[in-house]
Amino acid sequence: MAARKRNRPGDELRVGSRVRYRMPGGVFEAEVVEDRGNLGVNGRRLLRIRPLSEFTDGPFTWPAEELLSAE
Amino acid sequence: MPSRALRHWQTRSRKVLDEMEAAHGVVGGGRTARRFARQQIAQAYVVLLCSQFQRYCRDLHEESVDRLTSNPAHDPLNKILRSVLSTGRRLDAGNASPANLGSDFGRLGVPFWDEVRRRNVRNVARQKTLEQLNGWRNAIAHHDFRNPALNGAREVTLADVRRWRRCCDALAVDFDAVLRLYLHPLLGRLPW
Repeated sequence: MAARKRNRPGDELRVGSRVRYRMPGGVFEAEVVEDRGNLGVNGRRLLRIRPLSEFTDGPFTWPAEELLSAE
Repeated sequence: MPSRALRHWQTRSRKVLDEMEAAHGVVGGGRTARRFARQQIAQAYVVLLCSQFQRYCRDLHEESVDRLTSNPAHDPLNKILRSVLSTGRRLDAGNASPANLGSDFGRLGVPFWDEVRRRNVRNVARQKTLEQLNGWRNAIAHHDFRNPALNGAREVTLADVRRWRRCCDALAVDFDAVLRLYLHPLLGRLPW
C-alpha cells in the first residue's frame, strides 16, 4: 500500500481562501487568487494573493507555507 | 538539472501541444470543410502555444524570485523584496513578448535579452520570431489582421506554427540557462 502523502503547512488553502501574510510592518489580510503549483524552493507551493487593503498593490506571489488561514 | 518551469514546459506543455498537432491531422470531411477546420485548429494552436509559453515564462520568473528570497538570514527583507518583484508583472496581464519578458526579468537585475542573445547568435532571429508569433496571436485572439507585420496574410499554416514552436523550445532552454547562470553568484549555489 502506498504511503499516505504528508500534509504540508498551507496545503488546505485554495483559490478564494482568505489568508493572512506577515510583513515587517505587521500582519495583513489577502485572498488567494491563483495556485501557481510547487515551483518554489524544495518544491514548496506558491500562491498568488491579492491584499485586501486598498492601499496595497497586488496580486503578488507568496509561499503557501508562510500563509495563515483567516477563515 | 533544469528548472521546474522548464521541466513543465518540456513535459506537460509538450503533451498539450502535441494533442493539438494530432487534432490537426485527423480532420476529415470534404476538401473545403477540411481546409476550414484545419485553419481553425492552426489558429487555436497559435493561441495555445502562446498561452503555454507565457505560463512557462511566468513559472520561471516565479521560481527565480522564490530562489532569490528564500535565504532565512535575510528574512524581513525577503518579504518586501518578494512582494516588490512579483507585483504588477507584465507577464500577468500581457503576452510573453520580448518587451514584457525584458521588463519582468530585468527587475531581477539581469540584462535579459543581452544575455539571451549572447548565449546563442540565433537568438537574435528567435527574438524577432517571438514578436511575430505574438503579432499573430493578437490578430487571432482579437480577430484583427490589420497588423502590418502580418503582411496582409489572414491564414496561418501548420508549418508556421511548428516553426514558432521550435523557436519557443529553443528560447525556453536558453532562458533557463541565463537565469541559472545569473542567479548562481547571487545565491552562492546553483538555483536548480
